[in-house]
Amino acid sequence: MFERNSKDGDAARAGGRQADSLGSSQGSGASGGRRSGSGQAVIGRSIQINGDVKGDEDLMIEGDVSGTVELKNSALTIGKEGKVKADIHARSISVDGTTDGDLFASESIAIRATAVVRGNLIAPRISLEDGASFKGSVEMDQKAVEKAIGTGSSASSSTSDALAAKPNANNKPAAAQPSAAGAAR
Amino acid sequence: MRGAAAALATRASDHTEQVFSFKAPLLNRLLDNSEDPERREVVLDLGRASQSLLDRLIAARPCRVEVADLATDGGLSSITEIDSNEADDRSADRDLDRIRGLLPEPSDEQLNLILCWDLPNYLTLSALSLLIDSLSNRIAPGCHLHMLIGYSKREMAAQPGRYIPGTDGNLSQILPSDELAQAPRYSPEHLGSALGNFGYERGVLLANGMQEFIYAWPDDEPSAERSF
Repeated sequence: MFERNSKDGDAARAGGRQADSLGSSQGSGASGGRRSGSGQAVIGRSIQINGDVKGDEDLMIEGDVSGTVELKNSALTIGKEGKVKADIHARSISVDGTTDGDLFASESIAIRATAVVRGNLIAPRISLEDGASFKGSVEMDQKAVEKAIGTGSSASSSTSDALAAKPNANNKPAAAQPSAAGAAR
Repeated sequence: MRGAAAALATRASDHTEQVFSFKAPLLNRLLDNSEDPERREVVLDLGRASQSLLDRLIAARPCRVEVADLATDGGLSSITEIDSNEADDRSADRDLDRIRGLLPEPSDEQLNLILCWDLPNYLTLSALSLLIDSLSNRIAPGCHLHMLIGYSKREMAAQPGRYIPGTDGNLSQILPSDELAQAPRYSPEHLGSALGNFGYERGVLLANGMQEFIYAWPDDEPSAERSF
């Protein structure tokens, strides 16, 4: 399930549905929160979330998300319609849509040809399809990734660790440094 | 942009994108040979990101790659016409801020390699000088700067290309159209005047008429001591 931690009291608008229900509603229409055929939760095209998205299951975002996204042990897919303005922490991240923020993955990041990505990419494996629009930095150096993500690129590393060790805009691991969201924009 | 490489041109079915391929030996040397394969390096790619480039760089050294993608989203056009001869100090400062805004957020780590591709052809020397100036605090001793300059022909592609280094040593040049524009035909001396303390290291005339240049920052001069 996903937690909603609204920053402005206007966290989710989905035709009256609250973001808390995302992931539990199945087959609820083309644009609502639901599960895909593969079982991953889906934030549909009409949904806007301003706040923090957290969870322990795979997620597809086709809507608009601003804030943070933390799926420590799970895979995140940002679909072609998806727009995410957030730092993202996940086991793996695949981007077909638009992101503005730093992407941390303990396993891999895939930037597809249709993606528009602004921010830093930090992961042991990063792939970048021809045609993608990307501005930012790519960090695959094992030592730097381990410092940024947590212990040994482990999928179980805590997000708080990752945030604390996240490189700042200077790519220096910055213990106790405030989140540097948007460092490469 | 024609010549020997023209035979390799292909035309995509639904647009006029053109692809050429040629050898760029100096680039290959920079990508594949690190002075110390264990030493972490920071590379600034002013062009568009490519997986091939990432693979080549990361195979040769631990590194961070910063991608500016200057040629898209109107970034380059906003600085193309900068001419400091006609500008007052205030507008020069604005120009510098504008250029900095187009680059990835700077890090504390100093740059070891800057890949300009063909972008300098589309900048005035004043704009090129400001671009280097905007990076001045980040240039490591011994930093290399690589560029491809239209030199032997009067015309060049009207817009910058995308460049994808292949594993076979060939560099693919992808041009968005077949339109041509007058080439500034910068000489090494012209370029040297715009590159601060970067000194000419090597140049090679390529089969497509472009000149491939490497400039190097002095080994013993940290960027912090540099003045423009």
